[in-house]
Amino acid sequence: MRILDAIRARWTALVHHSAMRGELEEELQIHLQNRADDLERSGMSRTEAERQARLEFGGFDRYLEESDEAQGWDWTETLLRDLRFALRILKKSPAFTAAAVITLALGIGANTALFTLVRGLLLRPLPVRAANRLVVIWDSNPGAGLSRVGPSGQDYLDWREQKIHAFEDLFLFEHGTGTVTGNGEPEQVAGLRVTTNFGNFFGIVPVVGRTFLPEEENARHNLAILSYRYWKRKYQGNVSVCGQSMLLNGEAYTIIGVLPASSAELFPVDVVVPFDNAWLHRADSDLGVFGRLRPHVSTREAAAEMSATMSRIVLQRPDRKGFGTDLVPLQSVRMEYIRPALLVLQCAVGFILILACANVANLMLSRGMSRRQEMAVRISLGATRKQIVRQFLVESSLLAIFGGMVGLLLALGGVHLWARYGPTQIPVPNAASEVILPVVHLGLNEVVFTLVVSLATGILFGLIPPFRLFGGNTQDALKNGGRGTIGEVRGRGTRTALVIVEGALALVLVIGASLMIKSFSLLLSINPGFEPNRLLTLRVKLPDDATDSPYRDSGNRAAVFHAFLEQVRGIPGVQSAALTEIVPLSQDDMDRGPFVIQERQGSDVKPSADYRDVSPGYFETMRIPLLQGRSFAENDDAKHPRVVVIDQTLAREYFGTENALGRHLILPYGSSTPREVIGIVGAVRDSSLSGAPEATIYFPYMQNPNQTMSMVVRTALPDDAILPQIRSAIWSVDRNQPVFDVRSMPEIIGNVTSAPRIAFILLDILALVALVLAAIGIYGVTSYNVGQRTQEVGVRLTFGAPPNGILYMLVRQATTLTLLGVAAGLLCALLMTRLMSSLLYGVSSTDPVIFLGAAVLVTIVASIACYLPARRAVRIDPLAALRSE
Amino acid sequence: MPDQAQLLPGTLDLLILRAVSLGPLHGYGILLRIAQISGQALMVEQGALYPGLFRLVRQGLLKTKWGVSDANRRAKFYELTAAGRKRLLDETESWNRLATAIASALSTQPGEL
Repeated sequence: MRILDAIRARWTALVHHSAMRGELEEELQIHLQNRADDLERSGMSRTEAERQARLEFGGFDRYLEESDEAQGWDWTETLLRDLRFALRILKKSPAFTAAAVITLALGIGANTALFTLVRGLLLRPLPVRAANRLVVIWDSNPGAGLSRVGPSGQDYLDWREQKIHAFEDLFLFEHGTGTVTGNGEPEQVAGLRVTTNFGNFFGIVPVVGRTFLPEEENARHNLAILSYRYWKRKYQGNVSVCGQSMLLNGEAYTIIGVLPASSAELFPVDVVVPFDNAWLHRADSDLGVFGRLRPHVSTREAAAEMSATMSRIVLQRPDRKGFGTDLVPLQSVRMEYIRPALLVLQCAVGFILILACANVANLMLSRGMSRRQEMAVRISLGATRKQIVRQFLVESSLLAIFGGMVGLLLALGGVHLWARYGPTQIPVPNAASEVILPVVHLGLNEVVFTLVVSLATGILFGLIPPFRLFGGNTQDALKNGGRGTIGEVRGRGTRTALVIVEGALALVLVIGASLMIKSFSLLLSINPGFEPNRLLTLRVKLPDDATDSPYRDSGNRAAVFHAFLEQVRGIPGVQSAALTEIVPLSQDDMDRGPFVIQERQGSDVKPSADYRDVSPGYFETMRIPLLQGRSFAENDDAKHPRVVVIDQTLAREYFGTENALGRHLILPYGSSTPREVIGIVGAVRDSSLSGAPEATIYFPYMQNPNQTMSMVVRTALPDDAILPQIRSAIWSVDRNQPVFDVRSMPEIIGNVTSAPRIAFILLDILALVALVLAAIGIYGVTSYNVGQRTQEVGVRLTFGAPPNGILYMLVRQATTLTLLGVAAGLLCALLMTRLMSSLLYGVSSTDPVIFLGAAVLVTIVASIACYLPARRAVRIDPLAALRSE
Repeated sequence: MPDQAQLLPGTLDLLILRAVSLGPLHGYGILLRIAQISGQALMVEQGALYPGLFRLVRQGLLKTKWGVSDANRRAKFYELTAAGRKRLLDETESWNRLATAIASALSTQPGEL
């Protein structure tokens, strides 16, 4: 209870200080009265007794002060006094204060900005129920080279029927687009089709109305839930929207509810509609399935149960042989692409903060030396070591907090730049899908983080100088007037450590940045297999939901697409235009499957390839080189023999040196008509720039056109000049046809290279900052050390030592330390750069040339930082140097 | 003040605790009690008593209560807490050990070695 009592005493002391002071005075007065009473009784007059009592008591005011302090209120007042003193000290040396604050602001600001990103993107849970128990379930078929393939409706039904114990619930969804008509301009909206357990699965509380009911799966109900954003935009947030009807793909849907705004993070869509049973059965693959794990069930356990389930399912569905599942926690997979970049940067900004701390500690240490006299005076006047340390801590914390405030501004700027130039969408690796990054804000948590980091920083570098300084005898300090004597360079060990640490950290960052520079330039020099510049892409979708839609007939679809193309090609300024099922690198979709070479049936090789439906003119528009044979012609349509074009990768992998032209491929799906290989084109990098090109089969789209196609347009005109013309060209064919997902090819490439690009840009900046900080630090230490030895240098010069010899000696001593730092940095980098390996392309994380080059660079910079102060020292007039002490 | 021993550093706390352990006292009372129980041999400088008292309160060894003194004056009374009682026992024991050791050291005669 002692501690509690003590705390209570301090607390009451703090809260009731003035009252307690009054009480204290009263108590002492009573004492005097009592004593006076006794003295009076022994025969003194009252006046004399009171005088005597006061005399015996000793210094009333002094004891009043001491008692007051003993009561425990002292630290608030002391703190205020220390703060005032620290402010005065800092104001007295504005150059030092500014240097320290700016250095700290750089370190703290970089950390706050990165923390904001890491918290906003990696740490914050998705705003849905049990977000950490949600896993994504993908199909995979390692034998056929398939991973992370979206499951089909049948897969989902099978899994649900098997009642897999690891999952509380399974959820199926499909992203799509729908055309809204009858409410202003025709508009293509982002849609989501979900199983009817949607609301319950994510714990969604609708803003208005309700979500779907599980039993609504049993029959086709045209129900729609609006997203918050769409509701605000299209219905002005009108609560009576429920029960209203909307025209989606030509059909009437009843609006039943509105999602909360937070749902947009996971599903950035406009309208949500339900799957019904029949639809579930016919839904093709490439859907999304989430499972919600039971509490305390790990992803690994669930995966084990899934694979057991799959082997049971194969008994009923032999076509699923070879298929397994990939289970990945939803939260981690969303940021899988950007996480390594952020973590590497987090390390880098941590290093910057340490460098900043080291520099400021060094500054304080140098200043502490000159303040030894002041401290010695204070100690001799009765200040305790504790008080001196406290004074230093208050001073350094104050500096750090100023640094933190400026750093907060820097971080705000940084977060703003991120919002402006950072990626908005990132790919999900190997899954042909994208995630829209949430907006990050610098909020209260970040401010608290900054404060904590600042205080920790202040304490860290504030503790170094006083502990270094107490080593000496205060008497000497008084006598020497604060200057050191020859051979007495206090704090030398600490300075040595600082130089080594600075050199090492700077080297690690320089190595990291150099690796990124080399890797990124290699990445940019990759030939994607087509010419991305001046290429605009957009999508059109022919709605065929309505039973009376003309687009249910593939002939009509072909005719309309053909007409679109003709119109767009007719626009002045359009060099060429073509259609494709999937735009390379766009992460829009994945279409992959096995095929058989007719001439080689029965072979053990099980070939598989990416399938692509493209229009005539596609290879020319994309500038994919035609290597052999011919490309598609306008008459490669349904009425003509089936033909395909293959890419170089497929030709090399499956035909080797044989001539592939004239051979026939058979697909196991649909009609098993043999398709003749009529041409071979160059390989295209389709899913990522850094991955190897996949074997690809191109089909003429006219032989069975899809519902959705992307148009690629090569034009010399700027995008916003040509886009309205393309729109009206398409609308001249079908007035109700929205054009969506308009993106330029460079933009698409920007998205798939965003992580290495961010790491590249930021790591370069950070490495530069680190190098400058380290140079300043090494310069500071050297010039201080040399300054301490001015007299020694004077003596040496007087006795005829050659200035160059002394210069060499001084630089060599300082450089030795740097070399130690470089060695430590190389070791550190060897261990740390492997963190970056997923960001690197074409360069090993321990590339010897880069390690060596960076080491040389850091050594040169450090040597210059040592040379400058040393040169100044030997240029001094020997007599002046001798007198300097 | 003749015939009065100088207080050894650190002994004031012990004396205060001991004085208060005999019953609640106000500041002046403690002073008188110390003089009384030490047979007038030990005299605390009056003002120095109070910082010592407040230190003990802050350490949770003493607790205070305002009341009325014999002279019908308002007064703050000091009392031992449980922790104070324990501290008094510990300190007494270690003081006794020290005193015995010192006494035995000082009484050792040359022949006894």
